[in-house]
Amino acid sequence: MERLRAMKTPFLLLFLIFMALSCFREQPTQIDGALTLTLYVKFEDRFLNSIPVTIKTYDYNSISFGGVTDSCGAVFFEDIPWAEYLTTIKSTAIVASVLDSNAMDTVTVIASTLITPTETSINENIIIDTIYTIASGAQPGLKINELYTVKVSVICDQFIELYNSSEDTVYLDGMLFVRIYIMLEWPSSIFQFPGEPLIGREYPVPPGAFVVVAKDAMDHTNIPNFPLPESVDLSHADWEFKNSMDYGDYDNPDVPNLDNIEVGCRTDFGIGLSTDVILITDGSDVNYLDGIAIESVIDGVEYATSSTHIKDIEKEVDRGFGGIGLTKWSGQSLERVAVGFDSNNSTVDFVIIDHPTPGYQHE
Amino acid sequence: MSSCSIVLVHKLSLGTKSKDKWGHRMKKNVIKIFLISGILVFFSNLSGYENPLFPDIVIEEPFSSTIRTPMNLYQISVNPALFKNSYQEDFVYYRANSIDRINFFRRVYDPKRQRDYQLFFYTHKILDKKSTLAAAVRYNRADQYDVYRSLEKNFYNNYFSYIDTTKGNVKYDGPQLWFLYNYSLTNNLLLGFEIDYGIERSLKDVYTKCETVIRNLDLKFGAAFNSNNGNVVTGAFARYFSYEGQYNAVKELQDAFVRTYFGYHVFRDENPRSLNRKNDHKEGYEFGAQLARKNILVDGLGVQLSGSYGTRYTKITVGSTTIPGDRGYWVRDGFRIFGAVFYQPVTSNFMFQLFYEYKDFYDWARSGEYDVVTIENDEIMHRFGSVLYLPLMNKVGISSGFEMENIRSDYHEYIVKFDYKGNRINWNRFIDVKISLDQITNVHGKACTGKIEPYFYWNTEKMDIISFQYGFDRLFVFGTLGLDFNYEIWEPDGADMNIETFGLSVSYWK
Repeated sequence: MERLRAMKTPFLLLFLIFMALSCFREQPTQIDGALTLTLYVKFEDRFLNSIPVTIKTYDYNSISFGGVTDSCGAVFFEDIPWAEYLTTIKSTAIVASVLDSNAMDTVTVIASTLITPTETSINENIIIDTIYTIASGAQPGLKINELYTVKVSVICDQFIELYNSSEDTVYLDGMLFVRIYIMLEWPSSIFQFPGEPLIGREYPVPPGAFVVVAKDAMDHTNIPNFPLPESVDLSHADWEFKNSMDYGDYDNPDVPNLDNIEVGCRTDFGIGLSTDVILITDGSDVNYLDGIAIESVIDGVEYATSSTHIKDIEKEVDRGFGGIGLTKWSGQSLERVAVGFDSNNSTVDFVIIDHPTPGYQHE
Repeated sequence: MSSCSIVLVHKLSLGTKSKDKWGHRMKKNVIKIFLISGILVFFSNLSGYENPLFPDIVIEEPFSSTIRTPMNLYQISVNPALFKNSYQEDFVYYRANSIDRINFFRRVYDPKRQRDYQLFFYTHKILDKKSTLAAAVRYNRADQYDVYRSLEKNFYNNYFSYIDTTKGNVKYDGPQLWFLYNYSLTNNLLLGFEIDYGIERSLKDVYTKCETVIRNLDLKFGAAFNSNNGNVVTGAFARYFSYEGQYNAVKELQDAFVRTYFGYHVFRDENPRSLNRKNDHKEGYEFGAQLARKNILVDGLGVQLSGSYGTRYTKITVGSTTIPGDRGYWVRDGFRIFGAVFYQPVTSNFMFQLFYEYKDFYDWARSGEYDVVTIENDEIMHRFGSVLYLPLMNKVGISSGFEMENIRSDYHEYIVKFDYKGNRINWNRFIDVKISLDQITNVHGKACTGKIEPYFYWNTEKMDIISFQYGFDRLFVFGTLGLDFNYEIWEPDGADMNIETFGLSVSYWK
């Protein structure tokens, strides 16, 4: 019995040591700032050389890197922090002509992809990925080209910019701007252009023209007693959202209005600062109570600041969402990477710019 | 290193017996003074709202009297089982004090001015031959003025700090409770249990308002063995501590812009929200052992040795209140060895002690989203010093001391490369005089000079430190009342501005 008791003591000590050691955390084997990111840039089935590539992370304060693809179509970023990177490409490339195999065409190629490290890549300290570019100007038509949502202050200086990327004139008559709460079944704010949907010819938008629709069409940089030079002058906007049931809503008499058609709604058109879905529809489906018919949707854009955002709109409308890293109250804006560029994936199609550009495309 | 502080090593007994009445009076005073010094050490170690892995073994005594006795084994080891050996008389102590610190010279996120107030009650009582109970209650208040952006009480104490966009004043307050129970299982075996519990809340007075709520817990269990003649003491202890902090940043009308720092150079702008929150969870363990031997070769010569090993884990989440984002965690682990030699002969009040401390710890921080190290810090500290006490004519006592420390730091931030290798030397020296005007009144004064070479984020190569303390105490029928004043100035090298501290304290003990 004594012997048994004596044997217990070392086991008890071992147990206590084990308990103490279990409190300690295991240190990772890799250090930050040592990641190598290799990106191959492709257009259709060929690698592109001499293409500038920019990567930017929103995980830390404005860390961005640039590089140019080599003759193999590869660009290397070495000793960079472990983070999620938004890769953007916007350049011209010389590629074989589709019509004449002996001729070469110069095309503008565009890409915007989110690179997210995985556990496997951490172990090897390297990420290798391929960026597939596409030619700008895909899927022409009336596009939501820019969304200025985050504002710089409490004032309503938001706007939506449309662009006609087609070769035909389109008409805004009777079209709807719809804000979506969750999926097409649940619209939450609906404003309509005047005129007859589909057949009206009162409000043309020529090919290559911009249309700025302001929430409040005023010069927000010069409001009496509340000047905000970092805001935006919307006094010359083409259209203005105005709920005729909202008597406090600002109305610029020189700017035509879109009005609310939702029964009982007494507020201005709602645009979420950092997360939302905005649609423009042809106005053929104004019975919003059963949702919005997908056939009537001309263009739709979803945006959210967080990469973990769960989509609020059908993938037929928008396969991704833009705006990752968009900061509320920062004055940033969300604009297509190239004017009218639309691949039906806002993650790729949109880029964050530092200041809004109503009526024109950023450089 | 705290400025102008001195480490004391304790002799296990409380002093000598004196046969004459005056000597007895002095002896009582020695005990009281010793106890006050000890209590001040308790409360520098109590760490109300912070839980350092290795609490500083240092006497922060802005209003203390002359140091006459070496530090005891409880003070250098924080083993609660050793308390009974160290404090053998009942004691009650009250104190109210205020300190005003004006940072004319300051780092970016330091307050321009800080006022601390403290109400403090302490007692210990020997319940019976086997049991000793000690308890303390403290109310703390700290008002920080003109705090630029920082939402932290001390931005530079953390690797993951939180700031906003405003400048404002912050008020911190809260109570703190401390209990210690010591029990003699046999004549030789002692057990001890100690608990320190504190809560604190604060509010910043401008939008972004930031409300912090902090809870702190520190538990210690210890055992000690006394030899039959009392010359040898050995012990061991285990410590568990935890800290739970919550920062709620709220903005009126707009959203709160907050930013999380990773180290001192890289930050991340959090998504603006009407309510942004940082959660700070810490917990840690420390295990230690001690050995002391007194009356070696000659009466009054003793040695003490204490060592401990520990780890602390800090996890930070920020952002949304419902689904906070993981911003990473950091771990500190290391060990400390503290050794002391002292000589205090039984036949005189003369006392001399030497001490040496070695501290070695290693920090590493992990990224919140990826399994990679973002910060590393390896730090080794050597520290040594001495204290000498000379009694003169039973009415005057002079103590003087000196200590120096060498800190080698190897600090790295990896997200964006930043390296700092430091080899810093800090030192201070003091002289302290206490005069007994009559049998019931004492006056004392202390002067201290020193130099520190601060970390890179102070943006100065070195600082000279000068401090003065003076005060008096008088015995009344109801107990002893004391009044103390303190002035301290830190003068950074190459700067026109400095840091000044004024202190006032009223004490009562019996």
